[in-house]
Amino acid sequence: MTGLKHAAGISLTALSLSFAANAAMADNIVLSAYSGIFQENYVAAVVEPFMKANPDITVEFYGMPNSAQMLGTLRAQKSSPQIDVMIMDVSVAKAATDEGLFAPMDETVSKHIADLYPQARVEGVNAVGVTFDNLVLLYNTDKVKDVPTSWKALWDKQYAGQVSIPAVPDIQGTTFTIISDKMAGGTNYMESVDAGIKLLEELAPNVQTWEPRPDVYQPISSGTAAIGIGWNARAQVYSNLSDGKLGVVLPEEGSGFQINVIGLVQDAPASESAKKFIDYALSPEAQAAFTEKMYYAPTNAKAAPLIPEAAIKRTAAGVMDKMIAINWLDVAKIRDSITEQWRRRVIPLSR
Amino acid sequence: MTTEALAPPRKMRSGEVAVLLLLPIALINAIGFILPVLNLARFSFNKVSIGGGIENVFTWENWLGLLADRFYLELIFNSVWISLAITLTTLILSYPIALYLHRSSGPWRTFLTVLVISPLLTSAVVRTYGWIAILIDDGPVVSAIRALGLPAPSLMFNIKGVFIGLTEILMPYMILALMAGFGRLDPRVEEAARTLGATPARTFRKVILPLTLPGIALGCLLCFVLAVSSFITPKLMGGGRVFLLATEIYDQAIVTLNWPLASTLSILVLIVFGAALWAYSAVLRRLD
Amino acid sequence: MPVSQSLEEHLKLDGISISFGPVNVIPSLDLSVRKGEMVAFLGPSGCGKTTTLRMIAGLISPSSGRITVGGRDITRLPIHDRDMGMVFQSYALFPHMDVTRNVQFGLQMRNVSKQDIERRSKEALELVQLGHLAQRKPKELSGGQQQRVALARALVIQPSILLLDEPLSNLDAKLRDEMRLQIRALQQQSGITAVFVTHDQVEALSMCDRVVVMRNGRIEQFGTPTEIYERPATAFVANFVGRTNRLKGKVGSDGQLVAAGQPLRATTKLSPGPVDVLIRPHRIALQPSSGPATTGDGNVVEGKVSSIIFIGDLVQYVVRAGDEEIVVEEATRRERAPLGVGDNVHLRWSADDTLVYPDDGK
Repeated sequence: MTGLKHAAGISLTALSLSFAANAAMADNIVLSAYSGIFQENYVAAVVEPFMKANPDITVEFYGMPNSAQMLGTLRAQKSSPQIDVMIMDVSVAKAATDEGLFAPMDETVSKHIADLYPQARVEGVNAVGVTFDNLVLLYNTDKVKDVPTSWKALWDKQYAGQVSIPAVPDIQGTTFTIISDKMAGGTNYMESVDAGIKLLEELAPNVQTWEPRPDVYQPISSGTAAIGIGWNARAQVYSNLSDGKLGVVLPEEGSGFQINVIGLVQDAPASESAKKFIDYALSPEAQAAFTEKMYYAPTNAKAAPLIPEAAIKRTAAGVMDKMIAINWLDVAKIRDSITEQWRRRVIPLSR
Repeated sequence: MTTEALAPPRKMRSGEVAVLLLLPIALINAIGFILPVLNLARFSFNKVSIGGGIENVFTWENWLGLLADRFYLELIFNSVWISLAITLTTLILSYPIALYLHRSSGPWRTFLTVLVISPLLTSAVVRTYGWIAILIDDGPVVSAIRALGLPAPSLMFNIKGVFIGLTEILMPYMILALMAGFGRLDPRVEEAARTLGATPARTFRKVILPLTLPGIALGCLLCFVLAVSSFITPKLMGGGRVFLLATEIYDQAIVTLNWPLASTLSILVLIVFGAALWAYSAVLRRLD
Repeated sequence: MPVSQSLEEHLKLDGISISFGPVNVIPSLDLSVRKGEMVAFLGPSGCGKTTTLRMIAGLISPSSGRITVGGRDITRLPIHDRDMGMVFQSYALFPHMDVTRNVQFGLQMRNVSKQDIERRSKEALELVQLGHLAQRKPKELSGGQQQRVALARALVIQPSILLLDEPLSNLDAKLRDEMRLQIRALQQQSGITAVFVTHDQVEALSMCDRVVVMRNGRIEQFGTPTEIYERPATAFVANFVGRTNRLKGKVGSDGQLVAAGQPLRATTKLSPGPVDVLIRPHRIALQPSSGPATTGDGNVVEGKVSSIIFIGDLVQYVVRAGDEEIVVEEATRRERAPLGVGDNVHLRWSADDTLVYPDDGK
């Protein structure tokens, strides 16, 4: 019995020691963001240069497949956070903010916040935009001979059964609903997306899958599908890797932004170093480096001049005026209703 | 400790030994299963704010909303009947194989058993992608049907694809469960029926089928539970057209971030499992 | 009350053979069973007796040959049309049915009317004295009770032939004795033709009208129990049925049999050459050598008792005579002072009891 108590005592000591070790090594920060190619490129473009410039700080990148999982991890670690900095989708960051998981974010954290585009600063979210991405048209260059310039190519009967659309509740579907609504003459998506839904009803019979897996880029690159929609940054990277099979177009009607925000975790163990990293991540240099590497549009207005023309042309940075202003926090209010309309009106037409 | 070791060992009653032996698994179960389920149940009474934030309150909103929404009622109904249909198909396809395996012997039986189990050594994801390649619109199956001049149905990214894929994925489980339940099937008993004047068909109906019912019940329970909870295959092969409980739980938890609703649906799945278990034990009780 | 047997031929096997893979289990077998008689297939395991029974039942098909019942060729008839009642070694009762439904099964398959099913199954259960257990499941019965249910189930359909595959081997000794009598009684009451497979010579001899002794897929001898015991056709039969002493012997060119170092008399016709001489232990009389050494027409051999085994109702003397050891069995008696180890004795037996077979080299 005493043996057991003793063992418990030892493990408790070990536990507190490890806590102490964490506190002592405050120059080690944990950054959590998307795993996969995002991690690969972000580490190369931002994390490594930061560590080079700050030899006393090490950044550990903890990748997770999606924002929801990041939120789940934050929730689970609420009483003793292990993560310092988080990059996630703005809508999810709103939920995290509401639950008190993010520390307040203002110019005291980073002076660069003043230089961010207005879209990168979202009222009610304790995090600021670190990347802009936008919806693009994807096509297989073998199957689609004429380079499409308009979203309308998706409706083309010659691609019947060959269209790949990530449907709602995925936000690619939500963004596409708003774009369709605008194309159909809708004026205020917050009031009604009925026109857009009607247009999507016409698209439905063309659709091969509403749930491309593992993502939308692979089936189009491989020719399983001919045409579809996806995010620009990943599409550009996969296009580079696809031997020219994957074509990417920002259609003339314009598009909508997806925003990844960077936030400081409430009660983060390495708060000061973490702030230092956030400041670096928002700097024009880091922004430019990552855009060059992965074609996310920069959120810092001062970054654009630092980016080579070839890279900037493959982002929406040059055509900010074509972008539909989407307030994701507002859209969250109509998201359930959009989902319901897809499920009742759009998807059934594609069976 | 030492004095205790020197004392003559007290004889433990078998009841105590049983409790002692069951304690570790009971503990693991309590921590690894019961606690999370209770937590899940609690979550289903929380409120979600717009955007996914969770408010720690107590409300029946999720449950009432679920029961009032036709979409979810249909979802539950669809999940149950599709799973039942898949279970039945799996049973019909697996039964002859299991019976043949049960009757074969020696290295041939070993070889066949390995053949049956081998799909389990490959991940369901890989097998699902295999099915996608086979069943897709310009894939070999559809092309073959077209070559025969027949109207080719779309076999992938819809309910048919999910049906075919899940059936194949569940067959090894069904075959193993059936074989485990075929213990009572003595070949002499079949022979007795035959010598007493039963045709092969009547022997099957009157003797083989009743004697294999425990295996059938076990296999059906297992496959039904696996079908209801299967998520990867419907997600990959359903093309976003097939709405089932498991895929909806994923969407609500991971995409929409409505954890309370996801929890409510999860508890609902547990209730469906409970019903299946009840039906299973009712069948077993009747058999005995 | 035994039904008198006719001489009418009922079940006939005509040149039946079967091979399992490369193994020719039964090369060619002819057999004729009369109506109403009970015939035992007796032999060591692997002799082909169960295989033959299963071919009669139709559970396996012969590679060649014909099986007829009452003149009708049933060789290619499916099992369910053969009208055989079979009792299995493991009884093979339907575990999911109670006793009554087990017994009724065959009648239902024959589309007998409901009333008749009720009546006949009830009668059959009364016949095997199991009326009181009609609602029990097989697993709730003892081995002997299961055995009787299996018997009732096979008999209730009034089959043309009753096939019994080692039906008693799973019972304990006492129950086995009881069931032997009961099965024989039931068979005789119903006058049914029966084939009884066994490896137990006591069962075969005590229950059956005639016995087929089989070895390696061949019939060694087919005859009444008395014939089999008293006039075994081969050394194998003599050895397998009952206990024997086996002496190495020789027949000279003059026709004189010599064994255990001295000339012996036998009634068998002898041709010159090495022979086996078989004598059953209880057919040998044992006397102290001090007694009168009358020869008569029998054989007398001198020997010395080397060991004595007391069994109770029997006492076994092992006697050394020349190069041979001869076992003698006597019923124990009070009046005579028992012989002791080392006593010189005379062994006597009649020429009729001297069974001589050409040496088969085994």
